[in-house]
Amino acid sequence: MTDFKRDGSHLSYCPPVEKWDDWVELDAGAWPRRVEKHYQLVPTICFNCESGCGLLAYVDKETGEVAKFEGNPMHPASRGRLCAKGPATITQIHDPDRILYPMKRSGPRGGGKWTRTSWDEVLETFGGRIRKAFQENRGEEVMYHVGRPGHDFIMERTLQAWGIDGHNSHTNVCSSSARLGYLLWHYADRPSPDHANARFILLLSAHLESGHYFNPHAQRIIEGKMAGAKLAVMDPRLSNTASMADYWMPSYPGTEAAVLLAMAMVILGENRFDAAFVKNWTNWEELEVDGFRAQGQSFGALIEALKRHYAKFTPEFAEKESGVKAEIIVKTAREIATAGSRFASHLWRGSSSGNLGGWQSARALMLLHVLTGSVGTPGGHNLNAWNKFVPRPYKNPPPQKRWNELLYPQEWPLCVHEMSPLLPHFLKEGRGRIEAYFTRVFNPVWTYPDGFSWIEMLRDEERVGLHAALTPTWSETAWFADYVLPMGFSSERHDLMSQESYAGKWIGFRQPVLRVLQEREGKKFDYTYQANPGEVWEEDEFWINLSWAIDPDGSMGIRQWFESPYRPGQKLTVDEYYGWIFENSVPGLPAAAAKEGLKPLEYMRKYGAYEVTTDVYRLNEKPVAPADLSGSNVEANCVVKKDGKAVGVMVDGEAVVGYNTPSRKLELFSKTMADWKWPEFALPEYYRSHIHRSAQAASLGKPGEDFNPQYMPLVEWPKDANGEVFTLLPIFRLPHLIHTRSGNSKFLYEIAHKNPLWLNPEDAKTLGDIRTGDLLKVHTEIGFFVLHAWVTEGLAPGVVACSHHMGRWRLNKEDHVERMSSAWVDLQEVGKGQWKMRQLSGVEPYETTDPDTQRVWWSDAGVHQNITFPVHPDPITGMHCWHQMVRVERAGVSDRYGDIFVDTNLSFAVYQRWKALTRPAPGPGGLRRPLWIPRVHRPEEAAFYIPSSTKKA
Amino acid sequence: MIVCPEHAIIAGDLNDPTSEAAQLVAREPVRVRKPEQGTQPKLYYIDGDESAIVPTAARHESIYMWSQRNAAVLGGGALYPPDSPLLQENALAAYDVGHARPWGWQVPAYCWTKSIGSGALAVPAIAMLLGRLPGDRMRDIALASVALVFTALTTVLLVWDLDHKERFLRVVFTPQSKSWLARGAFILITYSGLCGVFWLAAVAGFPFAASVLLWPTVLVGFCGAAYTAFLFGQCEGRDLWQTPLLPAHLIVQALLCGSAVLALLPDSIGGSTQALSFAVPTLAISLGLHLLMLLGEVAMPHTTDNARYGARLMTHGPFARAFWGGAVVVGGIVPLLLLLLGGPSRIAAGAASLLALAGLLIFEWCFVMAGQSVPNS
Repeated sequence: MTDFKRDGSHLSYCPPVEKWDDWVELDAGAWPRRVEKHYQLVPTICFNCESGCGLLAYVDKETGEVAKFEGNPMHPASRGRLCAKGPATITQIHDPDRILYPMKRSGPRGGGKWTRTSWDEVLETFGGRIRKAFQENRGEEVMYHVGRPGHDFIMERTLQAWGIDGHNSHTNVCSSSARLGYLLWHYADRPSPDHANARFILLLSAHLESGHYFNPHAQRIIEGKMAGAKLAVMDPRLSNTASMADYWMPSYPGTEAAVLLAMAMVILGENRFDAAFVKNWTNWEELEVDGFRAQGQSFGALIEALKRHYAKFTPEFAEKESGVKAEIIVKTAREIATAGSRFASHLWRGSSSGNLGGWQSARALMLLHVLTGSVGTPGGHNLNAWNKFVPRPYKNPPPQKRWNELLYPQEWPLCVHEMSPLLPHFLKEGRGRIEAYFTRVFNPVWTYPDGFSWIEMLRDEERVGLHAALTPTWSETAWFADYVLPMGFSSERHDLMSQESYAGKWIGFRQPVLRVLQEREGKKFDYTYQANPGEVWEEDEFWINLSWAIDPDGSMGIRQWFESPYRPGQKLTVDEYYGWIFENSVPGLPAAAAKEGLKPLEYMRKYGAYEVTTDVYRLNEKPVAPADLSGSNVEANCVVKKDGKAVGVMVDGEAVVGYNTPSRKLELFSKTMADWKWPEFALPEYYRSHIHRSAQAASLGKPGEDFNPQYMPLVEWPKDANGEVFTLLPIFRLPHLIHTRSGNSKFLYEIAHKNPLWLNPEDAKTLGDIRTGDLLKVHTEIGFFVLHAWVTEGLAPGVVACSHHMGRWRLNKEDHVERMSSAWVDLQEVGKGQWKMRQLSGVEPYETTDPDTQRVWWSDAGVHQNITFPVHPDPITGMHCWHQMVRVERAGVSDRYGDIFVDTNLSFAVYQRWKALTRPAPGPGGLRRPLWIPRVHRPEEAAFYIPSSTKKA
Repeated sequence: MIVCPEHAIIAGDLNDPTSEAAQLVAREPVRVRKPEQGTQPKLYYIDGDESAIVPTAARHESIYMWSQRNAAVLGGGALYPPDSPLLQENALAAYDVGHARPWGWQVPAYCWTKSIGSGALAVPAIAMLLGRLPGDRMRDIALASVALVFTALTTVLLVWDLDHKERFLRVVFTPQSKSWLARGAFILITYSGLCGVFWLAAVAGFPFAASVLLWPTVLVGFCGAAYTAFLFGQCEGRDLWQTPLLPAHLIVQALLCGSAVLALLPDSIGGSTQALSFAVPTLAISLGLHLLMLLGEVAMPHTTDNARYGARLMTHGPFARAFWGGAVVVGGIVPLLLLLLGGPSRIAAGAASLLALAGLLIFEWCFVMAGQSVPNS
C-alpha cells in the first residue's frame, strides 16, 4: 500500500504484475479506520459480450472469495480497460438467485416445476439417448445450439468427434449479412479496422458505445481521433457514437449502400482512386457488366465501364434515397480519398442485419476500401483472419460425412451460417425432429423473432425429445427445457479466446479463478465444479464427460478424441487440453514462458493473455512458400495451383499468397453470385430493403414502380392493425446490457431497465401530439406490443426505434427468471397459435440473502418486442432482416403497458412469403453451396453435393 | 493507489507540465463544472458539452432514455420544471441518477422554532428600552419559558435531521471551528444558558439580575437567529440560500415571531393592553419588512442561474401555491390588513399573529425545499 503524495505519484491505473500475489488496498467499508485488505489477483476473460476483454479477479485472501473484477493490464486488446459490463461480473457470480445445481423438470414441460438432480444422472440420460440415436443412424437429431460461444473451436471438435452435422448458432439473427458482404470480396467474413492509425474513420455502427469488440475498438477510435483522424457515423439514430462524430449521416434505414456507392462514384469520377491497387488486387479482368467484358480490355476501359454502370449513383440520387445531404456525401467521399490507405471503417449489424439485401452495405463499403487501396494497410481495413489466432489442439477428428438440412437447407445455398431462426418452422413443415437438443447460453424464446413459435416447438415433445439448457442464469427458454444445467460465468470456466480487435493477433485464456488459486496453494481438483460455487460445471469438462458417457468403452470411435495426449487411454483433463495447445500450437509462447522460467500453461495462467504477433499488414503480398511453389502451375487467370488447390496468385510477376477467393484477389466481380442465380448482384449494388418507402406504400395497397415483388415481400397487415406506417429499428444496443445474459446484474439493471419507443417530434405531432411517457401501440405483421414513447430529435423522421435488451418476463412470481430484470406476466393461448401476454406486476423489491434486492427502486423491466416479429430470412444470406415495418397509434383504453399479442399462424405465412423469394440449390455441379465459401463445422467435400434423392424441385 | 483503470479520468499532477494530465489540460479545450462557485475545481472535462455539464441546462422528462427516474432517493429527487427559462433548446437529458434532497421537514421547522425562540424576549426588551413598556415578572417568566421551549425544540429538530444523530455530540465535543453547524450549536447553547439563568432570576424574584441579563440574552438571541444565514451560506451550490439579505431577514423573522408571541400573550401571564399596543405595530412593521425582503429575494436579479432556478421553483414551480397562497397572501397580506384595519382588537391581533406565524412556517418550508431541489450535477 502506498502513502498519499501531493504530486499524485502514488497513483496508477493498474496494479503492477509483480504485486499481483499480494495486492493491498484499504477497505472502503471500514472508513474512516484504515483497514488493509490483501488480495491475490488472477486474470480471466470477460464473458458478457464477445470482445473477450481481460478481467483481473481480486480474490480476498481472508475469505477466499472474489471481491471485485477490474481490467487486466496485460491483455493486449483491452489493455486494462473495461466497459460497465466487465466489473459487473461480480454481481453475476454473487447473484442470490443463480442456478447452483443441475435441475430436472418434475412436471409437464413448461410447467415451471423443478427438482435437483445429479450430474451423473444427466450424463447417463443424455449419453444413453444420444448413443441410441447414433446407433440408429439418427445423427441429425442431435443438435447443439449456441448463443454466446465464448470459446474457439472446442465445440466443433466435439461434434466432429461425434461424426454429426449438429452445430447450430445464433449467427443468422446476428451478423450473417455483413459476413456475406465481406466474404464475397476476400473470403474473410469480418472487418478488422485499424482505427488507431487511421486518418478517416467511417462507422456504420455505434462502436464508441456498443457492438462487437466495442471496448477494444472505442479505445483505438479515440486514439485515432486524438491523433487527428476525423470520424463519420452513418446511422439513422443519434447514438453516443454519432454524437462524437465530425459527420453524422442519418441515413434512412436500408439506403446505406446507395450512399456508399455515391461516395465511390465521387472517388471514381474525380479519379482519386488508387489505380495500381485496383489493377493489381481486384479480379477486374473477370468482370462482365452491361454487355462489357473486361477480359482483354484495358484497365482504363474497365474504369469507364464502372463509371457508366454506377452513373445513377449521383450524390443527389443518394440524398433522395437516404436523406443524407448530397454535399456531406461529396465532402466525406473526398476526405476518404484524401485519407487513402489510412481509411478505416466498421459495419457489423445495423444496416446489414436490419435490411433485406443488407449484405450489399458491407459490399459497397468494401468498394471504398478497394478504391482507396486501404486493404491490409496501417490505418486501413484489415481482414479478421489476419488479426485473429485460433490454435489447434493435439488431434482433430475428420470432418463429418453428413449434411444436416435443418441447418443448411437447399433454399438458401449462400446462407453464411445455419438457418437457425427458421428451426420452429422447419419442424412445423415436417423437415425433421430433434432427439437431443442442447441450448447453450441461448435464449431464442426471448431473443429471436417469433418467440411464440419457439415456445410451440419447445413444448412439443414429439418435435423436441429432450432439451437441456446449458446456462449460468435462468431464461425464458430454460423454462421450456427438461434439464437446466448450470455453467460457469467468466471466472468459473476455461476457454480460449481470440478476436480481431486491432492490428495484431492475441489469445486470451479464460480460467476458473478459484480453482487456479487453490491449485497454486497446492490443492488438487479433478473437476472445476469442485472449486466453483454449488455444482456449477464448465462446458469443456461437460463435453469430455458426455462424450465418454456416449461411448464408454471406446467402441464407437468417439472416446479416442477425448483421451489424454500424455496418458494414453485416460480421460482428457482441461490442463492437458490447453497445456498441449500452449506448448505446441502458439508460436513464441513456449519461448516467452521459458524466459520467465514458466511452462507455457503456467505463463497463461499468470498473465491470462499473450500477443502472438503484430506482423499483420498486407499478408496477401507474402510470397508463396517455396514448398507450395515447387511443382505448382499457373493457370490462365494467374492463380497458382498445386495439386488442384489454389496456393497463390501471380502479381507483378511474383507468386504471392493473395486472398482465399477463387481468383485469389479481391472480388470486385463475383462469379459466384452469377453462377448461383443472382447475376444481377455480381457487382456491388444497391437494392431496396423490405422496409423501403415503396414497400410501405405497397402494404397500404398503393404499390408504386419502385416496389418489385421479385425482391420484396408484400406486407399484409393483421385486421386490427391501425396507425401510421413506420420503420422500426429494433436492434440497437445499450452500452450497459448484453441481450438476456446481464439480467442477473443488479449494477447493470439499475442503470438500464426501460426501452421506450424513440419517435421524432414531427412524427409525435402526426400521431396526435404524443409526448414522452405516453402509451403507444405498435402493430407488427403478426401482433402488437404496447410501450411508452420517447420523443427525441435524435432520430430521423419516419423511423421509430426501440432497444432490444429489455422486456424480460417470468411466469412464476417468485423465481426462474431474475426478479430484478423481469415483469411477472400472465401468458395465455387464447386460440390456436394466438398468444396474449399481460404484465401482472413490474419489478418489485424482494428478499434474498443480498440486502440490495430489497433496495430495488425501479419497477419497469421494459417491453418485449422481438416476440412480436415474424421471421424475415434474407433470400440470399438467410439472415433475419430485423427492421420491421410497423404501424404506430396511441394506445386505447383497454391497452396496458407491456401488453403483447401474437398470432403464430400469421408468422408462418410471413415465413412462406419470404421463402418464396429464394433461388434454391443446386448450383453448378449439383452443389448445395459453393465449395469455397466458408462453413462453420465444415463437413467433408462429398457432403456438399446433393444426393439425387433429396433434390428440391 | 488505483485510479480509473478505464483511463476515462486521467489523474496526475497539474503542477508538473510534463504530466499527461497537465498536457491534456494545456492542449485540449476543457471546462469545469460550476466555476462560479469559486471552489476552483480541478476536474477538467475534455469536450464537455455545456448541456451535459450544466445540470439545469437539459430538459428532464418523466422517464429517461433507458431507465425510469429514480424518485426513491431521499426527498424524491431534484425538480425539473418543463418551462424553466434556463433550458437550452433541444437539450434533453438521456440519463441521470437520482439527486437526493437531503433536508426533510425538520429543517424548515427548525428555522421556525428558532425564530420564535430567539425573538421571544426581544420585542418587550425593545419596548422597555423605548420606555413603552414597564417590566413584568410574569411576562419575563412566560417569555423566557417560550424561548427555552422553542430553543430546545430547535435543538431536537437539528439533531433529528442529522443522518448520524450520535455524531451531534462529536460536533459539540470535537468542533470544527470553521463550521457554522458547530458555531451555531454553541450559540444556541449559550442562548439557552442565558435564558435559563434569566428565567431563574425572574422566578426567584431578582429583578436586577433579570434586567442585567435581558439585553445580553436578546443579543445572543439575534446571533442565534442570524447564524443560520452563514450555515446556509456554507452549502455551496444551494445558491438560493446565499442571498446577502438573509442575516437581516432572519432577524426580522425573529422580531416578527417575538411580536406575534407578545400579541398572543394572555393577560394572566403578562399580556397587557400596553403590550398589545406595542406588539401590533411591531408585528405590522416586521411583517411588512418580511414581505418586502421575501419579494426582494424572489424578484431581485440573481447572481447565479442556480439561485434563479431555485427562486423560480418557489414562484412558478411546484412550491408556487404554497409560496403565493400561504406565505404571501394568507400569512402576509391578510394578517397585515387585519392589523391595519382591526385596530386594537385583541381578536384581530391574535388572528393576525397566528396567520403570520403559520405563513412564516410555510415560507421556511418553500425556501428550504426550493433551495435544495435545484439539480446540482
